[in-house]
Amino acid sequence: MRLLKYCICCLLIASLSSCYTVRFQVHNGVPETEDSDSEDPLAGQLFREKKMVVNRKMLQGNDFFTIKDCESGSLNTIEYKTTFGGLLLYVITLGRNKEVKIRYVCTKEGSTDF
Amino acid sequence: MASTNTQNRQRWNTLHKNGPFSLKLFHDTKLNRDLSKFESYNAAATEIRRLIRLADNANERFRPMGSKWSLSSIAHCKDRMHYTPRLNLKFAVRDKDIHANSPYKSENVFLFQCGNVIKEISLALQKKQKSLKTHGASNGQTIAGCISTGVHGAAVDVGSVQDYVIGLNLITGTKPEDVIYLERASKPALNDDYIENFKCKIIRDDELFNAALVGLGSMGFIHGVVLEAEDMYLLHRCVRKIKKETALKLANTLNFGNFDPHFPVNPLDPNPPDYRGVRPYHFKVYINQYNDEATLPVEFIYKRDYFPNYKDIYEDPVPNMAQFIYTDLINTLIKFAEKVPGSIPALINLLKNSIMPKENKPVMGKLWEIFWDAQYKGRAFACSFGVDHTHSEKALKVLSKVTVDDGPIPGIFAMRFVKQSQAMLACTKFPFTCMIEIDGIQWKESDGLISLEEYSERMINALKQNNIPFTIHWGKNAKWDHPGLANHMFGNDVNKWKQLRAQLLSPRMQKVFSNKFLDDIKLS
Ligand SMILES: Cc1cc2nc3c(=O)[nH]c(=O)nc-3n(C[C@H](O)[C@H](O)[C@H](O)COP(=O)(O)OP(=O)(O)OC[C@H]3O[C@@H](n4cnc5c(N)ncnc54)[C@H](O)[C@@H]3O)c2cc1C
Repeated sequence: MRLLKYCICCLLIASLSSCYTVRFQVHNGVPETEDSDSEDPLAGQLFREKKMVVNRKMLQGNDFFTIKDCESGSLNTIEYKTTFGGLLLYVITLGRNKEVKIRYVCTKEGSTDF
Repeated sequence: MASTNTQNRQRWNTLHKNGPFSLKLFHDTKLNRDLSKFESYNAAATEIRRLIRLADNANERFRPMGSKWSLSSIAHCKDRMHYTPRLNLKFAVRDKDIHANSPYKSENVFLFQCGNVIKEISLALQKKQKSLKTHGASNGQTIAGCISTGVHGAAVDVGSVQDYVIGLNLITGTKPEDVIYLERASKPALNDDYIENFKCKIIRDDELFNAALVGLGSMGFIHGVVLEAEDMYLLHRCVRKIKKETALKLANTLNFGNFDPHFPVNPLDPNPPDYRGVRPYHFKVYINQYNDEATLPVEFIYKRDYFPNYKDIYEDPVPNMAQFIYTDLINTLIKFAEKVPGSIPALINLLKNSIMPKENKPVMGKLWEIFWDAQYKGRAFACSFGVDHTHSEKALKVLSKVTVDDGPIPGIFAMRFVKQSQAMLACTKFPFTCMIEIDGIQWKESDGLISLEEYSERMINALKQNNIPFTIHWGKNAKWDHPGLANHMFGNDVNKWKQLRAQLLSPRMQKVFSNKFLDDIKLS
């Protein structure tokens, strides 16, 4: 019993410490903005959020997510977040599925035209 | 038509959460990009007139806002606020569009719709091998928002953002004839045929133009801004810690004749610079008022002709600028505060016990690369006073004393130096203005410190008691309802500005384009 508890604790700690957020941002672009009240690092930027279950096909890089809602046709920022729930799903499905949270900000429409 | 999404709102706040403020309606207008550029611009003008009409009919106030980067309540109005950053058309002009008496070259003249942000303008100009002449320490404000409060950097001999604006397209009411193109009679920019594309009534008048330039959001809706750019250039930046007395002497005199910034020289530089005795393009002094250190970090930036392989020689400046401490003042403080997250007393102790770090690495880059994105989006305050540069040391002493003796206040000071503006209500009104600013983290009553309002009041009183004439940056925190403040700062120009405003706006429209901020400073 004690060993089981110990294993669960280790698993929890390992999973929690493997929750992370990564952000990519174009340095010479302008994000689409909005009037928001948050204090988030993306505050003031119009971000869209997608929580997705990624299957093996995608994990192997054989498929694409399509982003349809950038009117400018390009992205400014992408944030990739793994969550504890997502990791749990990964473990339960033996690596077949993984849940990820993605937030992205489009490039401001018309910002590059003269 | 341009389309507007209108939301019922209860609250609104600035980027750095200096509110919240109450609000009824929030308009967000989007361009119709299926039309030609002129048609799209004119459709937006029609939509703006419609929104002004709705406010007028409801007997309510209306206020365009930009990126809400102002920390004062200047962008707020309790009734209807209009979000403008999606209005971002850009126009280059040809030789034949320039006025016959214009001193400007067509290749340098551009019209930007109000909601273009500074970085966007810089990137667009870069495509034409052009650059803005200066801007603030970062780049997210809209062009209309910048000129409305008089945004400046530390471009000693250049001036502020409004100082390279040479024409304004204003919407001052609900009727087609309320769409106005205003420029100086003494320095016209665009000819009548070109202006006809925007269906504007033309006014060429120096005084009216200078009054409207820093218009506090209250001279009508700025729909378009015509500005003069220049050939692309590079900025060579380095922060040096120099003796406090030398830094303050440079501040008081702006005489760099005998000064050597000791820039590290890069042997690969195609034109190795010698900056001894040269007045820098940009001069900014950082001060931790809690620690009487013998040296101060000073940001020196020199202007250089553009050469394409600068990044091979000096590295890409952006990753460096993103890491550096001495950038935007609030960023400097936040980098300090990282060691003591969330604790105001610990931050103050840290400031008392730390010396300002060195940052010797030189970088070279374009204007937008050196004054790159603001990174901090949390709660902050900023107070900024303009004094004649000859008073800079004295004013710094007075303001530091208030901060230390009546505080402590969780912030640090910087001084930037800017050439005089022709705008009637510009905070850079002295021949060379020293903008002394303190930026910091907001605190709570429970931290046991005096309130921000009280702090500001005491700073105003201290400058008055010491007979130091001053202005205050319109976009920063202050005790704006301090009795007679606007008159104290600008004297007769206050009445002149009001009269010129009455020339531009009907009495009804003066009401529509007023807000509590304007009431507080007795300019409505
Ligand atoms: C991170 C940060 C860094 C800063 N750095 C500097 C700096 O280096 N130098 C400096 O001087 N200031 C600086 N400031 C202050 C800020 O740049 C100014 O207050 C600026 O005016 C904000 O521009 P905005 O587009 O956000 O306009 P807002 O704050 O939204 O509005 C400012 C004013 O402009 C008016 N306005 C906006 N659009 C229009 C329009 N279309 N027609 C008529 N009126 C309009 C509004 O009504 C309001 O009165 C900084 C602020 C922040 C948050």
